[in-house]
Amino acid sequence: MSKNKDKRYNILRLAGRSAWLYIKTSKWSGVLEQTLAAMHSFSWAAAIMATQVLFDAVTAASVGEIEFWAVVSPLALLAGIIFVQQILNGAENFVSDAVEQKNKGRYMAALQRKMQRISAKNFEDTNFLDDVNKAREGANSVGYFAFVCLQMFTFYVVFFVSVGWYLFSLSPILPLTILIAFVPAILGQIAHIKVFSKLEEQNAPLRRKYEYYQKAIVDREFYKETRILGGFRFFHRLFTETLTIVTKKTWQTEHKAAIMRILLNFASFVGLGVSIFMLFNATMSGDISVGAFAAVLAGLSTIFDIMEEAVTYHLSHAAESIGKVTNYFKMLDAEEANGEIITPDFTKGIIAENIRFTYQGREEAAIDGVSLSISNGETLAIVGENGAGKSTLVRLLIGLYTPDEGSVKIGGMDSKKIHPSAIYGTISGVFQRYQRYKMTLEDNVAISNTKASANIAQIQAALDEAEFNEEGAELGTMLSPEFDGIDLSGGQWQRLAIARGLYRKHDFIILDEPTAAIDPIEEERIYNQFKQLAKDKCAIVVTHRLGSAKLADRIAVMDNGKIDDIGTHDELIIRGGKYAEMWQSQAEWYENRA
Amino acid sequence: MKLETRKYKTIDVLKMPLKAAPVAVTLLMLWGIMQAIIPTALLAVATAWFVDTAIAIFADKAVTSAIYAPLALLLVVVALNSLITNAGPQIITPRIKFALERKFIPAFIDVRASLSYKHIESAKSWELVERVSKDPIKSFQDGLYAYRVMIRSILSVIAILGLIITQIWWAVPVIAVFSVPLFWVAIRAGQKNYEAKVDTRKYVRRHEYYTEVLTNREAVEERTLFGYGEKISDDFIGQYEKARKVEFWVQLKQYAMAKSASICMSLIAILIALTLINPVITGDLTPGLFMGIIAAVFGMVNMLGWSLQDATEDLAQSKEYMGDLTAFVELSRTEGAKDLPDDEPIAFKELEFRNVSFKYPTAEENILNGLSLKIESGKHYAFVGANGAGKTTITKLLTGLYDEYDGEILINGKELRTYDTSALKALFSVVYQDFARYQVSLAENIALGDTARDVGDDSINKIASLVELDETITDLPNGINTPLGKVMEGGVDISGGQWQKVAIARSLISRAPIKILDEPTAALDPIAESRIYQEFEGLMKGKTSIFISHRLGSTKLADEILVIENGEIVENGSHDKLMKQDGLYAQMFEAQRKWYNE
Repeated sequence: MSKNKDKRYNILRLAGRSAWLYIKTSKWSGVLEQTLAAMHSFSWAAAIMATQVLFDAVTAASVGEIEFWAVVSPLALLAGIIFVQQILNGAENFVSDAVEQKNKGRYMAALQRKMQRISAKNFEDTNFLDDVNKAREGANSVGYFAFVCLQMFTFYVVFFVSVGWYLFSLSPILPLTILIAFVPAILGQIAHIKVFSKLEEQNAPLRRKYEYYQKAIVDREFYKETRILGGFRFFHRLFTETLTIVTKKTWQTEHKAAIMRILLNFASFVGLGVSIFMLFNATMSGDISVGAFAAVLAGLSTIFDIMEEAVTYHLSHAAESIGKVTNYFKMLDAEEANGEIITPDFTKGIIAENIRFTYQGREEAAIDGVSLSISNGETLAIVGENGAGKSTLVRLLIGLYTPDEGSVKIGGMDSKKIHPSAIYGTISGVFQRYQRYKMTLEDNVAISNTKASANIAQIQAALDEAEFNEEGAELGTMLSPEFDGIDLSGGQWQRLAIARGLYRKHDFIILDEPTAAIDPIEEERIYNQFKQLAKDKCAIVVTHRLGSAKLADRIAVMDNGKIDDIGTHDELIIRGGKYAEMWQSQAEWYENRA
Repeated sequence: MKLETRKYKTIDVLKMPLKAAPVAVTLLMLWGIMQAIIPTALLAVATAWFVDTAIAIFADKAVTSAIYAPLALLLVVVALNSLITNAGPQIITPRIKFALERKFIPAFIDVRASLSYKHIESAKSWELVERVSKDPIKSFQDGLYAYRVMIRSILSVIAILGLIITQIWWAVPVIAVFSVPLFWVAIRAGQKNYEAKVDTRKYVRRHEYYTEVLTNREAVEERTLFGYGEKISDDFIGQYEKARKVEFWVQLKQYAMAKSASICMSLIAILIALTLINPVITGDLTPGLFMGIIAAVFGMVNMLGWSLQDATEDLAQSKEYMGDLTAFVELSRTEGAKDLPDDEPIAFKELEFRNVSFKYPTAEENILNGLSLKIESGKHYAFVGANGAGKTTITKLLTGLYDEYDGEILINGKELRTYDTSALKALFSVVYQDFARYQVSLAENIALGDTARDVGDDSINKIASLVELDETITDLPNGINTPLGKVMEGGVDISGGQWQKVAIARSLISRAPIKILDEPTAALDPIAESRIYQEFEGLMKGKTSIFISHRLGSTKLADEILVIENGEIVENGSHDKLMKQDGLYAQMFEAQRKWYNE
């Protein structure tokens, strides 16, 4: 998504869209902010004018033309303007901070809700995950981006128009000074962006390496192994080498950029010099007063500072965030899973017809022509080696994914035509990748059914049924040391995941066996529990251990994305296919040598 | 550079960079001084001279050509201002960053790489380590900036006072007296703001966690099926709003304070202007100097408004960072952590645990309870037992990752703790459950198994074909020199099974006399696991090896099986012996066999 020629995301549209979103999200406070910005901006021009009036009065007073009190009133005017200016400055900044903060949460929530409506299959695609991360950053920057776009009009345009108009009234040539101030700053910024994006291009792979070597030494993932292998020197050498290159390149570029900056500063100084010279001429020819000269001179540094701020700070930061903002909007525009809202009728079972499915960005099909049916109340076991496609098939059968080819009919409804939320209404599951939510015990169970308010009795019943028995864990206990709570053992987490699956009302349940290390006794216990859960229900049990599949009504053997065979345990053994072979190889280990 | 073990104070945020880049940091601070003086006092003087000369020319008291000298000075001052204030820091700051990155980052890595292993596994120390080393350079840069702003703010006030003192002496004490509370207010506001940020962290961590759950890959199945997005998103907003409201009120106060301070400053400026009117009328003060002073004073009011507060906030952050840094360097370290393994491993005869008890630093109960066992050279051992029984802990003690145990661990009759870390590294080779998938070339991945020697391509190829990686290597675009994984350019992803083989090859190339296989197959299905154990068994003929597993079929191959329960050896012996004994092992074995033999 990074490079795009999509017209919907050109800079003007982005600016317009984010500005509109900003105002729409913040409503009146956003409008208030813009009004304050315009008033604040105007106060700068007013201050320069008032300064001139004061200085003229002082000049007149020094030659005895006017009295003391005639100088006090312009001073009072200036004082008034400056007080108002300070108040406006504070108010504008405060309101804008407040609006930005408030909006940020709303932008993030909008993204979160969008994620809920996007098909689950996208999340297996690393490019998509990168885009999600960028969109998350985008949710944080879109407010700032909009702020800058709006400020360009409400603050900067107002500022330069009012100051320009004042300068014009002094002498028609003077507004040129604004232009003179503007051009070098803009040029400088463009050059700056060019230089740095080129640097980033060169440095990004190097930095990735350098961060990686660092990780290989000190990250938790590698720590003990690198230490025991004595790998420190190896990685440290690579790390130092890349660090030297990266820092040198960065320094060279920044050095170059700084020199360029100085040249541009020089250009802007020349502009300032020319402006002063024009002022000087106007003064000497009597077009403007000496007071006006001094006031504008003082004002010039303000003009140049504000220019600098607008371009090198705001514009460049906003320019840097364009990519993220684009990603944010693209993510919000992404296609949603959709369909009719009809309740499936599970007495019709689940029927898959010749389905194929390939993950985004991969060449081989994960599911390559599978037909299968599960009738009402039947328990189906799916077995096979790692990577055979078991989990993918399950995701297709419950409508988490829709097939690229073929069709899946869930309770009589085509999974492509029915709205996902309608399918999930009465399906529950315990997944291999079950979650360990850093929430309270209660929330960890109740999260499987958030549509209704939490039912304490049912939560407790689900926990009991799953044999969750951590001592000292009450419903309100936070299950995360990170949030000042307790941690559970792997076994207890697994039980909790089962309780979660049970708590959700279901006519159909998925039980995906965990692969993580579990000792034999616990393993057997989980199995018996799965058996209990699957009884008399429409259920799919995914397993790696062939023996346990005997519990199911039928067993589907998967290999390379296809169903190798399907039938009862005895049938499969008699047929002597893949299943029998696998069965034999495992059973061998458990035969006594004698 | 080395990070000394000592107490770090806020001022170190200035001192340490000063030591790392003396010239650049001094220059930067000098720049702060120039930034304080040039736009204020110097500009005022130049303006005054110019205006007064111009007025004199209009009054026909001077010739027109007299204006050129003041004009030139004015231009020079403006030039200095625009070049120095903007350009100077721009060229020096990158230089400082460059020096800091090259000196500090390796120093941080050095400390992290030698930490006692317990800190890596302790959530609390690890959090500290992460916090300190997340972006040290930025912490120092922010601190430097804050000091520069402080210097500049104070000096510009002094410069303007110096200018005024020549005109009306009594204005100086008035301004000085007024400035002190204003500085104080600004500093307080900065601190308050910082404290508020600390207060809101708990909410922020919470709402960031919700975002994670709602957007990551791991939770996608439950998230989609259970449809909890709306609910958790509401919770997100709840936490977010809590944090925001705390900040909102603090900010409101902060802005009110800051702007009251600015208005007071403006008031002083106006009062100064008021008192200066009379001297202008009486001719004691030239109108030019009046204008110069007024412009400088108002300029200062604008500048002081924000920067002082920001600087204080940065300094409060530096203070916290230095506290963290102190705690970080005080974490205990392991001697020899960064050393290579010994060139020649010691000749291994036997290893004995005598009544060893051990408790993880953060745990309440012992994980090992008076465990005794014996490992003899040339035999195969299997450790079996339930999760949390202490199997992996044994390997952590053996490899010296933890050394605070009670009892004795004897290697060839000598206590383990008396050996150098490098000797232990040379003695053991471990393939972990979560073995490292180093994103470097395949050859380097294998060569890492024997870092004490320079392993040639020949031996790598030989080992690679032992573990049947030949085909994989042929498929790789650059053979064994192809980087694995996605980090390096031209890197290629290989499958989990292939990684497994790489890890085993790494262990095989190692000359360590004892090989440990710590459930390296946990993520594999049992069929693949059996295969790997069988193959490893074959490859390990004549060497000492320890398998750790909870799947019992494959452990049958071991000469001796040690059954661990509650931190003790409860049974030991060959498979047949243990089956006859009909204890825990037999029970576990039966539990698994039942699935296959009914």
